[in-house]
Amino acid sequence: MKKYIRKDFYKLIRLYYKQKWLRERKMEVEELLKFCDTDIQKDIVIDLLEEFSFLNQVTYQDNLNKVCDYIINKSGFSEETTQIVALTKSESADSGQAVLYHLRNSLFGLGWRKYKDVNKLGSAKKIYNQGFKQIILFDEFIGSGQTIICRVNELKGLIGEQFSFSCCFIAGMDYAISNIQNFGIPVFCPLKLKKGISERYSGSELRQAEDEMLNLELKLAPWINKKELYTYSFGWKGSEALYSLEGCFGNTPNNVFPIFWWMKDIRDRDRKHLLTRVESGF
Amino acid sequence: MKRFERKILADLFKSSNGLFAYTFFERYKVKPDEIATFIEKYESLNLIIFVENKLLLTAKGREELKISKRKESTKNMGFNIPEEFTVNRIGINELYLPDITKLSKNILILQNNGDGEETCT
Repeated sequence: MKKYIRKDFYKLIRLYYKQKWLRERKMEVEELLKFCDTDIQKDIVIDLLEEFSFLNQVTYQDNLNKVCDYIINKSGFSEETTQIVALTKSESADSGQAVLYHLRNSLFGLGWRKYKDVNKLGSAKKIYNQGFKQIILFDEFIGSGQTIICRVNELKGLIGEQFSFSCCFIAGMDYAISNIQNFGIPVFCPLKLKKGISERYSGSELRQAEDEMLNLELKLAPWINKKELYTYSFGWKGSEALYSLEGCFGNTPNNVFPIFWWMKDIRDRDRKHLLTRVESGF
Repeated sequence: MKRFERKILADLFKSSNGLFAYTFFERYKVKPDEIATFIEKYESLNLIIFVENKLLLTAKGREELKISKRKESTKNMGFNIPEEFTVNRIGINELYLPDITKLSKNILILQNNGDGEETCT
């Protein structure tokens, strides 16, 4: 029988009370707390987990509905001339395609049936030439905003003329959304997230939290095959994301703090990681 | 209701100032996730509150437990007392008028035992 320290016991009660999904991952939570060397580290990890947005089937559908509402009622686009394009470029299965597939069902239910869904960015030009000249780019998550800026530029090059477009996401980092809006890209994202540490802590607490997170990351394997942890420190591009979708709905974004999904520790032993990220090259 | 839930509620009923949640780990090895689930369940029923790491019964919770304890004790004693009779205890010298329409027929059959005295069976 596991022994709990009194103060940890109360912290865990509050955590499990707030984050119901963690009750199914007790082993991983306890492993993560065991991974921490100090109480401060434990407090930071628990605080981040309390802030975590973990969408289950209900909350995911709720956000999908908000995207549908935007597309139908607020985008100003017409059903007959709109194509919704997954932000997918590679040949591999991708979260953009997964959410597009789910969105299709919701839009159909709301009466939008004449638009086109396109599961690869490269096919948008062909559909554009068929008269679907209003484009909505759609993906699950916006972490740093870098990808969307590249994709929009690619699309502009592909289409080769002025066209109206908008971008939709299920969730995203607030700072990234502001950044891409500053580039003149219209965005709709129902779930906007703050950076886990730098936008939630300040002053000496911020410095301490950053140091402690770095200390925790130093206990992870610096490399897994050809993937270097350093690239994902505090999440890809330092996004500090606290977000994931339940089960098979999505893949944990690499923008999330790696302590939650990095598979090996400094001694190259497998970790009971809390979240699963399918990363090519792992 | 799980066994540990019954135990926690019984302990809370006996306590006047509530009990620290950790007590239930010490007594019954109830884990934090189970306590969290317990709090969520009974808070939503407005039977308990969780304040400063302490679990406390609400007035409603205490009342409901009183009723269920009363039911349980009469059941254990072999009585099957209908619900309408399990009202709150009346005060000394307080007037009590039984509602005759709610009494079972068996109770109301008057018998003559032959000694001139009529009794109820």
